[in-house]
Amino acid sequence: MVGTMLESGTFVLSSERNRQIARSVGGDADADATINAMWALTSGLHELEPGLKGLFAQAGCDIERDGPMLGGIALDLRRPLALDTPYRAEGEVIGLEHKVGRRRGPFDLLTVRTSLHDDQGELAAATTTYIVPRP
Amino acid sequence: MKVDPEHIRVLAEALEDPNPIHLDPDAVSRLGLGDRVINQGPANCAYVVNKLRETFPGGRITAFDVRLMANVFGGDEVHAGTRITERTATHAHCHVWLDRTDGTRVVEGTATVAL
Repeated sequence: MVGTMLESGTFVLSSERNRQIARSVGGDADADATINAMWALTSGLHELEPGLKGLFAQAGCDIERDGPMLGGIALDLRRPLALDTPYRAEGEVIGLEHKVGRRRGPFDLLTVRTSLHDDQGELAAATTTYIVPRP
Repeated sequence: MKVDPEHIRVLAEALEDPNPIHLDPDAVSRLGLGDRVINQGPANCAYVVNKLRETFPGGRITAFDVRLMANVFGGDEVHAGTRITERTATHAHCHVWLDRTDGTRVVEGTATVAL
């Protein structure tokens, strides 16, 4: 899977969705929305085929049965994102590492780099590591 | 702050997060992870972001790099922290974290804020 490019798509963070995210984490809806955009993008990868659910399925994980989790995230935020504005979303699988934890048992660390772009280039990027339980 | 299960539900909807552990305590039980819904990882990170914004009003976060080490459940209380490790004329580099009130570290990492 490493090196797999996800099919790029268009990402828009609406004002309403940004308010909803900010409200549910006790944040300020008037603050720079770039981080909320990265939470929205990386939580489902809906704009990037095959999406997070499909990506987990390729790794042999059923998102509803197995309970994968976020293991880590690194954000590189170059410029503020504008609400209600389309950006090109890109993604690539950059890591898949098998581990065995004392408490967690066997699992994989699946690492995906996603980014948002406008005419000036890359605006923001996230390197996200998901913990994928192995049966 | 106390993590409200209703906020977990609303965030799952806003993020279109398909993982049932945020909505269904039975799904959490089936996985042997407890008996309460589990907060989203991004929400745990967002509490740290809120703390950074409170610490540096008017600043802009340019980098944020964290590991998630434990779960936060609906009803848990958490508190975020930040400590400046290096400050220049233009940026503050920080150690950041989120702990549950039982002392469990949930999130830990670094952040950079443009001042």
